[in-house]
Amino acid sequence: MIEKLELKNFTKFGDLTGEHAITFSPNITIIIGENGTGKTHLLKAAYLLAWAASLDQQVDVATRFEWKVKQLEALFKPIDGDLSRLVRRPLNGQRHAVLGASFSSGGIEIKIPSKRGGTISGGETKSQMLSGSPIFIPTKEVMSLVGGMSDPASDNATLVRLFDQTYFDLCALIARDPIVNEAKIIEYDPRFGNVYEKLTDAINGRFVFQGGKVVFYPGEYQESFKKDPNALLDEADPEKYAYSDTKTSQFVVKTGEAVSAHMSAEGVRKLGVVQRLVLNKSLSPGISGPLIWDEPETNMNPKLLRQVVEVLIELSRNGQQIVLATHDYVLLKWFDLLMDKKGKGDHVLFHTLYKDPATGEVKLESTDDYLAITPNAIADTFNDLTKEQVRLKMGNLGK
Amino acid sequence: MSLTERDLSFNFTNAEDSFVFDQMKPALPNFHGISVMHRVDFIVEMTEAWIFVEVKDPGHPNAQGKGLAKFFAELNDGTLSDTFAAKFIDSFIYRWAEGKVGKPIHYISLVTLEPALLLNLSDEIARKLPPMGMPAPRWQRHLVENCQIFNIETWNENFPKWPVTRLSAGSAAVVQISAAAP
Repeated sequence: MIEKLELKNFTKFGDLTGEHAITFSPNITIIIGENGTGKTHLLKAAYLLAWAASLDQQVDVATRFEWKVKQLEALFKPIDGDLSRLVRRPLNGQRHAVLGASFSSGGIEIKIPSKRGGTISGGETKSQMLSGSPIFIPTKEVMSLVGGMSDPASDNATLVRLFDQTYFDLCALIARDPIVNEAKIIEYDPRFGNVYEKLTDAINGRFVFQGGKVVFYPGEYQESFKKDPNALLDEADPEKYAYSDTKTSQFVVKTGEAVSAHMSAEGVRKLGVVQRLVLNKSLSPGISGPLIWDEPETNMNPKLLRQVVEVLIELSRNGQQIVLATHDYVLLKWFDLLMDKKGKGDHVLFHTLYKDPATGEVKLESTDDYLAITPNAIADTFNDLTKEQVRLKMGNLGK
Repeated sequence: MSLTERDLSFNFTNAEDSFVFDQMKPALPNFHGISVMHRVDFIVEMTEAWIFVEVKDPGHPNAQGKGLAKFFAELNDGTLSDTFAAKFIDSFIYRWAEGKVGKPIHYISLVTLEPALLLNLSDEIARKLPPMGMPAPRWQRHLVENCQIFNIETWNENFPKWPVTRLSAGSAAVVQISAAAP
């Protein structure tokens, strides 16, 4: 579990260290802020350091460090691969960008000099893995990319030009095989079942892999009888299920309506990613590192957002740490409405990123009270709409 | 010209006239007298326009659970916007009968909720009024120029010459809709 992220002179950030560091709730942390305030940079920095914290300690320090440097380039893709460009501009003499993260039993730090080709340094204070592997869901929809990205015939150099590392990482996780028959897990692991069935209800079906392609089957879980609870999930023929006298939840396909991932709705594909990660245990509450999701609302029907929030709260209640960035009032409001702070201990920590008008540095304000979020770019947008309607329709009345 | 609706006090500093429109006490000035008609709270006369004003205060610091639950139930099921629309239309008819609809009319309301919810409610009420801003081939004028809802903050920001204040000092200005969740 990531507890704290410290950034200094990294991309757009001024000094977010010490008392200004970005803290993370063990439950849900939401980053808001206008475009250009570095929300995605912050998420990627947290992702990189959480990955580093999850690396196997059997691997020697030098190899781990080399991996971190490579990841910096693959995640942030600075011009010409020049990592010194990750140091905040304008430069006033030499400076270092610092990225650091604290976990429950240690920390990791990376220092990048502003001099091109300068030595990148770093340190770790830990004796064991600090975190499970994190998961990053980027803004663009990924489900439809999995086939192309995992096909050895695809040109890797072109893919690398098109996508940053978060897309490769997520595609690799999605392409993992489901470990066991989900109907069996639903029966024996209610924590999994609650989340998985909620996801299936939200998108009215599920994605399966057939011959290297991703296919969406509309359908739903129904209580039924199953013959062989130990049967492995048959991805090649998801309609093939046997029956017995054991009552269980079964996925029932609406026949004749399977469509390719490309033809399913984009919002459905985005939630389908979470469904797939839960099914193949890449996302396993209580074991996985943080789930980091950049703008879940992008290309999603606002009506799906309630279910997105319900799923995220359910994951959180089962021990999954979640970090989100959003522009969307509807998403924030659903969290505000659906959280059960007293009964179920739900907690959301809000961080607002904003540019200091005097220096242009990005700074941070934090609160765990939805109504106290300030400055709130999302609420400001609603106020702007209110003002514009008054201006257009009432002119100077009352002024 | 100060007008008060329970805990909220309005001062229309640059108005030609302003009065309590829903006055149902015969002894007081501007007695309305037709209880079967819906009524807005205030009417304000400006040189160039009439302003109809309705006030709802779910964010009142002493708002009670039952009353709040009723308010939010009506907000959710659409009856609140029905009532707002009916108040405008009946008040317009009353003013027509008085011969006082010669200037453009604006229907602005104050509801102590957060701005995003008000934006949606504003549009919901406007949809229930005869069409605004749409070409009606035989019309010479619009029924209402603007239908919009504000909270204390956005009202004061947009209408600095019509300041509104809460009489009980230091109280909450808005209420979260979640307060009414069962």
